[in-house]
Amino acid sequence: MRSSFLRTLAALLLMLGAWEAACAAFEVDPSTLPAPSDAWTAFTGSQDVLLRALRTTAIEALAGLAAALLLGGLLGLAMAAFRPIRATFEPVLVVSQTIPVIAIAPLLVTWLGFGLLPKIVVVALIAIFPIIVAVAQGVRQADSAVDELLRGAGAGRWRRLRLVELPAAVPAMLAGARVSALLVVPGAVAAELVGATDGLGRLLLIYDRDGRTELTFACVLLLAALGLALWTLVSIADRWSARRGLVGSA
Amino acid sequence: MSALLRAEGVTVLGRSGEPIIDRIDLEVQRGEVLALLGVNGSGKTTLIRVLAGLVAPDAGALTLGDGGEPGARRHAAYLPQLARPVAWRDAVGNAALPLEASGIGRRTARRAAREALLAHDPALMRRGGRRAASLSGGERQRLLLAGVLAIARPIVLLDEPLGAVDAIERRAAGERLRALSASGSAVVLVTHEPTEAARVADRIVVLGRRPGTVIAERVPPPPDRRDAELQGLLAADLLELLAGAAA
Repeated sequence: MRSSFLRTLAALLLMLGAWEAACAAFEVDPSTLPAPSDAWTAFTGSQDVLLRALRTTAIEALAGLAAALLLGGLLGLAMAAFRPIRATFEPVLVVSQTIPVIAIAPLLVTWLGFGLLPKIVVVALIAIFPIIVAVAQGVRQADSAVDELLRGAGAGRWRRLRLVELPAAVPAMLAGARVSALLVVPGAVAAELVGATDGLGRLLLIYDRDGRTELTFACVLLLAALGLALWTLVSIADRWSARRGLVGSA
Repeated sequence: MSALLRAEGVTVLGRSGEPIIDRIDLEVQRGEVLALLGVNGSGKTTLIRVLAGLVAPDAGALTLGDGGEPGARRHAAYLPQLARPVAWRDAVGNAALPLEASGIGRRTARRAAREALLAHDPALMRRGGRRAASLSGGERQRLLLAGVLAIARPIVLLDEPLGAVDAIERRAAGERLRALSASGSAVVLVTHEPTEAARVADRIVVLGRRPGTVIAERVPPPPDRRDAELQGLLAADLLELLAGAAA
């Protein structure tokens, strides 16, 4: 794992180096394509503004992901455990996914204002689907023979849920969260583009309007770092649950 | 001997409407090991699930020996075929699972499971703190078997519980089932192995294939008076019956 991490890091550094060298070699106008060093200089110059915006976007992404985990976990579990709930919600969920969340984002701004809440809702709406699907599938794939064993011993619906389906849902939820972790940062930025008073998405709009390309790139790199950090966080949790043996049945 | 469980004219239909088992009459007696023997697809599992109260027959009826309704699902301890331990519990925790399912609190169930393992499968108990994934296939089977047997119920229903268990432990498990029946329980053992039925069963009911019907019943001398030769003859006789049913 460590050597693969080092390899990835080396590849990233190589790409940045090639980018830097290309900009220098072809004397590219920094307002068209700034070199990484230009983006870094811009970042250190506007550090306070950028980091405050990063914090806002990070809060939106994290809160949205947390809400999606909680609600998606519950809904996925309910759908897996109770057939009528599945039958009712599955079509609704599929239809809801055909509506671009970004299309209803202006409505959310109208209803909930320009603050954090509409962004968190947008992020949660984007992140929740993979989690619901993963949990519902993970629980349904729990060993049916073990379910029979519990039923034969006299366990009712709730006890079976508690003893087997709930523990089986945890790794499934984390697997879904890995997918969602990659969606939440773009989701938060998209929500900010619609109307925000803070956040990297809002800064992107401003810098783009003012032609501050090097700062735009600083924002982009910060967003990439944020996305990577979230993904790593969820992956660590995922690996931890796998090590503890929280992966389905043996 | 008295009947603890009685199936009369039990028929279960498959999805296409064809019967999987057809008009089966069966009595489960107190103090016996009853082997349900049949080839693949003879409806053994369907029948034992009916006996466990998990499948309602499409025709016929299941009654308890005392005349009670078996619908409460609490009359029997049942080990389904291919049930595997769950990965997030250690060995003792898995043996406690059937007990917890029957309504016993986690801590009490764990203690009871540990005692049951100590008493009946000490070799497995030595691996009690292990994760299920690090146990062998046979050990995993023995684990859930120990847990199901720890639920003290008068009827014990086991669906091919020893498929992956080695010969030594298989013999020990057979002795365990004999001891259970001697103490007054009824043990129903589903198997496709004539030799296993010939070794441990007091009574052997042979099921024919598609639809499953009772095609023969054997009540040989009691297992403790069955020497190797008699066991061999019995197994050969049962194999012939199976071959006839499969043809």
